[in-house]
Amino acid sequence: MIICQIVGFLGSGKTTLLVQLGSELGKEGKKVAIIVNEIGEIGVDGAVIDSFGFQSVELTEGCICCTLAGSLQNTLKIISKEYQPDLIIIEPTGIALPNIIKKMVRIAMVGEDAMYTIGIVDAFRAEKLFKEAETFCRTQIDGADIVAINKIDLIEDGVREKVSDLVRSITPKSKVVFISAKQAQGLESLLELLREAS
Amino acid sequence: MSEDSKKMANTGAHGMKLTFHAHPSIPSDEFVSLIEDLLNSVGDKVNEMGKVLIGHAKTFITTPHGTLKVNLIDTDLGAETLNRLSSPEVEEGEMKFMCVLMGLSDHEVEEIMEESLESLKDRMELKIEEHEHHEHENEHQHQHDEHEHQQ
Repeated sequence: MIICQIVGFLGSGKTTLLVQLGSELGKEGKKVAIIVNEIGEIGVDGAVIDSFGFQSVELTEGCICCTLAGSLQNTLKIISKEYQPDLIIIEPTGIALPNIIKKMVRIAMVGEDAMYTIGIVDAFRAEKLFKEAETFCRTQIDGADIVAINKIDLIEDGVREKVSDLVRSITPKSKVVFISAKQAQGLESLLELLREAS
Repeated sequence: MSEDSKKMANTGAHGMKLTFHAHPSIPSDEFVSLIEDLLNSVGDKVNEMGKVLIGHAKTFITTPHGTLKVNLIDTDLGAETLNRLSSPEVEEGEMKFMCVLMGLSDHEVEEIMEESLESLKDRMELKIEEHEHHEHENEHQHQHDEHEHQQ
């Protein structure tokens, strides 16, 4: 069993990417379980994900990297025991800190074969976001296995290079891919990571 | 790192679940515009407060004849819509409406959302079904399970 977290700032396209990856892997016969976390007391993403034919577990009113850490661990234990998925995809809130989630998953001891982090960056808003919320944006991608620069359908080549340089300066060892989650473009490297692993 | 990333990010959040009934029913295209206006209104109100919209406003609507998802993450980009409504008219359904906005408190986010919902009341009856606050960082604490917003 593989656990993968898709981490990125608010509005970066995590849910759209999750649906695309989950759909593709589901078609290939993989058992995919989804845990989605929303900071508000009423979540939207769980309903969106379920409308695409998935059954997600939604953890609301807090962040799984801090106030809901216990809920995440319990949910992982239940899902891994009762559903026995090939892959668990975790979508944290847009202000979650991936290194802490990684630690929480490790402590949960659910017997995963590997855990991966996909960092997602909104290329359209990258300049604005790194200016207004630099700490979060940097922390969310630093050390990711793959950083997906999303929304390339909305930007020009010059912006693409700028964002790419910024990402590589923050996390030089991470693989960088360019995607449009909405248009299902450029997802092959991400699927490959999850296919090989699971 | 802080123990609470929400506080660390200085982020306010609020979510609500509503049911709506429109009498007469609303043509689907007009319904989609109304919901897009709702989300754009959130962005406008944030801008009026002199803040930059950094966050996410989103709604997901379920009707007996399909779903509608509308997001706003940037006022320059405008509302993004995924329309999977299959009926030419919308009469009733359930709406989940949520905003996470940096630089604002939970209470400020809630007020912006409730003010924005006012624009829908000319065309439909709204009932907030779940609206429980457990804690608002000492700003206020209240609970209203069946808070009706009616025309």
